[in-house]
Amino acid sequence: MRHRLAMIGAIILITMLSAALLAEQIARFDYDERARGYRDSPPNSVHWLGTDRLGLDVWSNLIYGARVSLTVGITTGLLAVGIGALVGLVSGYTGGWVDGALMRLVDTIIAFPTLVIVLAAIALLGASLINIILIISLVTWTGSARLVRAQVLSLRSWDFVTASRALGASDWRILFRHIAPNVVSSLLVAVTLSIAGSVLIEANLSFLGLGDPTQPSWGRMLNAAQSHTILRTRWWLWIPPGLAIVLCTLSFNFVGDGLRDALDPFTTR
Amino acid sequence: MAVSIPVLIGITIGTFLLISAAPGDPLLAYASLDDFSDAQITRARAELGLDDSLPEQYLRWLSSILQGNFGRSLVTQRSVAAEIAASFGITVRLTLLALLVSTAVGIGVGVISAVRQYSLLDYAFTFISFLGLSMPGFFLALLLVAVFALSLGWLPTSGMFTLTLPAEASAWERFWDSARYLVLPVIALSAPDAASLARYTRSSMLDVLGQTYRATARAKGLRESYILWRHLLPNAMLQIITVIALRLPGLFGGSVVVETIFNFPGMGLLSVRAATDKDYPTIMGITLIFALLLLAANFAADMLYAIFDPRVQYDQPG
Repeated sequence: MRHRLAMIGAIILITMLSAALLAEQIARFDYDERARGYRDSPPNSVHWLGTDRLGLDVWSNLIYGARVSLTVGITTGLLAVGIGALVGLVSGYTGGWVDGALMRLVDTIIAFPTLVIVLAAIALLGASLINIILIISLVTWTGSARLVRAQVLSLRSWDFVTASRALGASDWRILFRHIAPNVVSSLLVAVTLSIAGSVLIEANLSFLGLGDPTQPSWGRMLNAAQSHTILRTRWWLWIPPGLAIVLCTLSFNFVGDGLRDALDPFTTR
Repeated sequence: MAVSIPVLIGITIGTFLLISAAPGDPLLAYASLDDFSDAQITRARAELGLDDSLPEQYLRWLSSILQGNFGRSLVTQRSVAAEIAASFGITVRLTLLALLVSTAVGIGVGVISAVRQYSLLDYAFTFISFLGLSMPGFFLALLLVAVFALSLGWLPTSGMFTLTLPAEASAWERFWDSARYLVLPVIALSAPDAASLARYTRSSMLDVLGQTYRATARAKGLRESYILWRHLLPNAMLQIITVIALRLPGLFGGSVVVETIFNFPGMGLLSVRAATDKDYPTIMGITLIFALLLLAANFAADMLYAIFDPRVQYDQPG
């Protein structure tokens, strides 16, 4: 069951990734190209998912929006887990006051509600795509730091670590050649789940009107759809981007869950 | 989270650093006016303490925060403390209601899933939980509004009470009226949280179901329902309480979106307005209050944990 859901998730993700990469070929219009005479049009053979008030093609915006969501999601997920892994490795292996200081830093960051602190930082620094990626990573790395630290704490007392120390290996070598490879599989899971979370945060930001205003985005399409007329009579403007967000995060979550089951030797199924 | 003092200090330092990172010199606006000479601006900087070192500025800022002075909103010119005081109760009530609903639903669904592991019901709940985890709150909220408020017309679309309610309406009518306005926001806010709690409860319960004391209780001939309520749930509850405090950040974050969609004038809506208007004093004040609320909740969770688990004793040597 899990296995099958993870496979379905992977297929959906590959489709979305290809669509994002080949946006110029798949989208039928530019995302900011206004179709004259086709304003507020329901889906038809030219505009597969209709057009909005300005005559923008919904299908094309959906495809280009995938590019933004996936770019933000994947880079943020990798960056956040990368930072977290580094902090966790150093913190767990070094121990002492370094560990104490780093873990208090983690506690402090966790003490802020993610969306609220991200909003505040975006308001201060501006909403460019780079800023959004950096801010979300700097706020969300804490989970993987704790995860890695906990694993390193137990790994460092294993015999193979003692053995390599006895053979004269440096701390650096022990940490990155012997301990790090053992946490890779759980990092893989952390990355997929972190990507899902980042896609959601980006969608929330652009829904609230605080995303990058120059980029087409799923969240922003829903932001524009808050009027009662649109909600009641123009489903094609808000259901497709909403479903796209759900499908994207759901797939990453399924893949992450499947990976966890597949990689965890202690899970019996 | 037992060591909360360093975290408390960390929170204020973090907030202060963000404020000092705010672009724009507060006096830059005057620099272009001819009426102000460079000398006057230099003197004003000194008087406002803008030339002091960062640690000095931090201590001054901290002491004013401790006196309840969060500065003035750049937009409304009202004091930030007053703005937050006006919106605080609305957010706390909304999140507490959502916390109650999601706790009840999440635990219920999780327990049923675990007891009936691998049944059709379990798979259905699992799928719905994943859907809830992956559904952005704003999309769910818009769906709820489109279906229950606009198409069916059962519930109001936004706001907190009916503005045209007659003045002679009884207290009960007023209560009922505002309750109707709360239904959709509370569902939208609690759904993702209920989903994650259900996942967590399910795995905690599965953990407990495999324990040997369960086999012992059954060997004694106790009824299954008695074992569930007296032996299994209390033990699973211990694990579940620890995540209550972990769920609040998500709820606070969700309240930002839900309050915006349903036009609830709470701290979430205030923070979005402040972020949009670049109203730095307000957004930092709200961020700080949210962080302090979370810290307090963590503290409460630690206390609850000690009450529910007699083995836990804090700060006892040995």
